Amino acid sequence: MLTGRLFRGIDASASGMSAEKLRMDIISENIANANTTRTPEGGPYKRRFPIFTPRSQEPLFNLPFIKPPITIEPGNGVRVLRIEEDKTPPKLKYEPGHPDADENGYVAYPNINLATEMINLITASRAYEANVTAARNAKQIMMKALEI
Amino acid sequence: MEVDLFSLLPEPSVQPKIETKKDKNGLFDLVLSGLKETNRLENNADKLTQDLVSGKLENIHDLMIASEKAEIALNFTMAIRNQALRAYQEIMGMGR
Repeated sequence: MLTGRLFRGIDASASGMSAEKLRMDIISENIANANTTRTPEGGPYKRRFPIFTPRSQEPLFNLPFIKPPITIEPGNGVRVLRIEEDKTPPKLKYEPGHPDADENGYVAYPNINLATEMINLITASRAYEANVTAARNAKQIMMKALEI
Repeated sequence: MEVDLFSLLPEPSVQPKIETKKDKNGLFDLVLSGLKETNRLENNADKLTQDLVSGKLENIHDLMIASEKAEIALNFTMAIRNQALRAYQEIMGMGR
């Protein structure tokens, strides 16, 4: 009874931290596989990225004849909807001696730009820190209320 | 045909009814349920600590947030308890 809505802000920040942590994990995976030319599915590694969506308690599908609620409530944070693969074509490099080269001597390398990945990594870690700050703020406010 | 008029009257209450229904929203019940919730949060933090030492924990912040929640809940419960105790002592001191 005590913590139903009390920790909503902290819960939202926690979900944001989890999401950003997953994003950092995926970026690390991308950087680690920046030169992977062979995967179990065949072809080079493809860049991955997560898709975030708000975590709400509403049903995902709307039933007919039921009006959606008008009031907007503070949500319950973020969750990762799924992890997608980048559909851009792989980078081709001319390496005739490479075992993964095609008949023209080109090797398909992953569609990963290291600079982009590094920028995304910094963005993700800053976003994580922002969530930590928000959680700390929520805690400080609750502690402040106890001083009344 | 005789009708007993007295039987139609409502029964006189011999003594005023004493309200015995337990008030679940009293201050002390609040302290008790606060303690229960605090205990639950503490147990949750303990479980996550065990997950950490056994290598099952995925995110460190889950543990930190669980222990923060437990700490906040404990502080809240202590605040409520202190208020309740103060009110009790205030009432007990009325006679003097």
